[in-house]
Amino acid sequence: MNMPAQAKRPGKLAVWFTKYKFYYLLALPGILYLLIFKYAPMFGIVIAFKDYDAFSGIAGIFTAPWVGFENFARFFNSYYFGRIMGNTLIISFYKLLFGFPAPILLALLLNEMRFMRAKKCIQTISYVPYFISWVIVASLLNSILTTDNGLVNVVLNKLGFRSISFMTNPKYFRGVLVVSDIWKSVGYGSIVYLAAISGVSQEQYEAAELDGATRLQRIWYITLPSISTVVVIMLIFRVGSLLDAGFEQVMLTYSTSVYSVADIIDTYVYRAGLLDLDYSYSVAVGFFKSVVAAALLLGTNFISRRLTGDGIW
Amino acid sequence: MKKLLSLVLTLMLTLALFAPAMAEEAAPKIVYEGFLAMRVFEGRGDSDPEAYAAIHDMILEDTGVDAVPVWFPYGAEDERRNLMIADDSQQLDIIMSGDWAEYADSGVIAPLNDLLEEYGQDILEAYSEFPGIWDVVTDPETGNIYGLPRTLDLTQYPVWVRQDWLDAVGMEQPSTIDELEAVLEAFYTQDPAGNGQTIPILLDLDGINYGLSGAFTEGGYGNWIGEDGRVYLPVLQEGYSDCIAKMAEWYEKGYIYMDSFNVDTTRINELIVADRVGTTAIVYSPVCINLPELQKINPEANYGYNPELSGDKGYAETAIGATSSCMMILESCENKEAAMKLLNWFMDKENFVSSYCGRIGIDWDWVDEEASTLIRHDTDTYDGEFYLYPNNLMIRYLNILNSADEEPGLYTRFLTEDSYRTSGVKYAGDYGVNYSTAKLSELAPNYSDIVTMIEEQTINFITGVRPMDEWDTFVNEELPAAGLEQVIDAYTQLYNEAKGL
Repeated sequence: MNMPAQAKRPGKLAVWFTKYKFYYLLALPGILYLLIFKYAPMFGIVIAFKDYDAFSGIAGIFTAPWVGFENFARFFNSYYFGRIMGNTLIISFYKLLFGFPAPILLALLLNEMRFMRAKKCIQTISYVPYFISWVIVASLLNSILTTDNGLVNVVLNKLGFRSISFMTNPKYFRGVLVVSDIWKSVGYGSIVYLAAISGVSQEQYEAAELDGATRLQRIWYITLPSISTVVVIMLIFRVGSLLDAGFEQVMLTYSTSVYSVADIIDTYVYRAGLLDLDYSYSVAVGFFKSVVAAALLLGTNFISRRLTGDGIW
Repeated sequence: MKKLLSLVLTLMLTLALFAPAMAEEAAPKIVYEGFLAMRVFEGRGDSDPEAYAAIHDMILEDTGVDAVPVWFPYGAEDERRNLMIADDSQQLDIIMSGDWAEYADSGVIAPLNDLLEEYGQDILEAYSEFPGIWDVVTDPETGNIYGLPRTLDLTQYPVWVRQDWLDAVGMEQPSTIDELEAVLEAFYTQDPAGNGQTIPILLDLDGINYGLSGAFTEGGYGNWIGEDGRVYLPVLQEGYSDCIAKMAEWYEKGYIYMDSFNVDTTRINELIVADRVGTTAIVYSPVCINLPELQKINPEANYGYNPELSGDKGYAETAIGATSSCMMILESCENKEAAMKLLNWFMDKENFVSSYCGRIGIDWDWVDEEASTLIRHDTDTYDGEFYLYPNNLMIRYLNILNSADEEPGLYTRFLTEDSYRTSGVKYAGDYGVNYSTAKLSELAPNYSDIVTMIEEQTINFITGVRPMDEWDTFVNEELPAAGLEQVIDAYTQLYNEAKGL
């Protein structure tokens, strides 16, 4: 008697997809979004190696002549290359040095507050600047810091000092950038750390209190180590974006007189590349930034894993 | 019955298929870049639908063109214009600004020679007053005209001084730089605006260059031709450093508004209307446009200027040559004849005024057509959407009076009488030659770096961020290190090509 042929058994992958099909369907729009709007356009990076004509449209990506590394060489040989790289790194470093610990500090302070109503109130107030666009903030900065009846200069004059042009004097402009950036982002940035702190077991605090630890000691020996993983991960992200010194903020607040201290890669590329329709040049510089950022991200993650065991991957 | 119904339906469907062919041919739609400044600075652009339709129909009847104006976001006009040009999915037929040489190289704009000859009679007549004007928009190699010039030869930088404040401090309109300095000192010390709000002088870098530097330099402000035949930049001219040193001195003394180099047009307008500005060395228009508003709060306020303001080296003001800014028809325009007809329509005086004011006989009327003075009626229905600013020549026809017996305002008086004067001004060494930014960048890739450097450092010297005794180092060492010679060579090459040398 002939046995009926065995039906082919479905593969593991097929079983997997069938079992979890709704999860995959749920993720599908996001995956498609990433593929269409993030990965597919990456092909356009090729124009960094071409002499692309802005008016030739999509077809121009394929028909533009190759120029090799000419755009990169132009950037590196630019008279201002050293300055704009320096400004980018210095401004980013200042924001990292002063701006990175600020939300951590705020989160620690908020966590120590016992009067809940005040805590919530301060939290909300600290979040609000994050949602104000840089256009508004730039306008506020100009109003407050202007030499023409600006609040700060009025106070300075009353105290007998001469007006200071904060927005146009290279001595002060970087400070304005850093302080305004911290003011805008500290509240929102503290959310991650507050969430991490809230996950710390209260029993540890109680045990420490019983052992006679002061509040500062509890913060130093319990809170900080507990959130160190989050801090490291956030630091890796920050270091990875070291070449992003804040295009929108700088673009809206700087002027010709402070180019020497505020002209960063993005603003330079905007002027020399985009305004002159030199998209190839702009993409080449952007590509350079991305390569450096990727290297920083990988490097920081590697060092972090070696030193602390923590990392993003 | 059923068969009859089927037959009728079949007939109707067949007719419907041929209806588009049988219907009257629709008028060609032409999308053109409208005048953004009117919307931004005058707050106009919100007509009643009926009034809007009336002007639209007027244009349609005269030209057979369905005219559609569009505006780009303020502050991003150039980017938006270029994006729309590159984007085939959005119709755009006429643009108002941009580097025609770069557009022509990319094949983006159409040559206009034949179109002008056939459909542009009013245009040719209007520009006939300025012989040689077409050179600034003509490709010297092919002879193709690529645009209608928008900025004609002008003296745009008068040094306006508050006449009523001069009366208050007992002084006359200054005729020399020394007298001007005395006026500024008087404004600073006597504070006519009160409460320390007086701004003795509000200026910008262009105002210094085109309005004042001629008093310190033989050739005014502009490129100059050296004895070796090379074209040198204005910053290298003898005497220019004296001008900057004088400005630095004024800034230190507090005569110059401290935020002068960090304000935009909106803020300038606010300061003028706030009755705080004693003197300006900026382009003529903010004072002219805002004077009526200022006079609402201070009827005595008035500005005047001395067209022969001079210094040790002669006249302070330098004439601006015609620039290559022009109106262009895009190559992608499907009906270029219609586009040219539309542009030609605007060059008729009455049409031009109608595009701004509305319907003649309803929204406005001539007071004196020959003098181009008119009065607007208080209909408040049409808000100027179709207005197109072809060039500063046509603005002379917008002599809008508040009443039939009123004198024309400062704006129209200046444009009509003073902006085209040839006396009392200097002319740069390469006057009449227009340089394409694209070609300059191609010949000297560091061109934009040099331009930025000069602007930045000049402001730093004026504001005291950098001491004046470093000027020679800047000019003789830093600029050459940045590649100044390459830029000079580029200018020289383009100058020689333009002159046929």
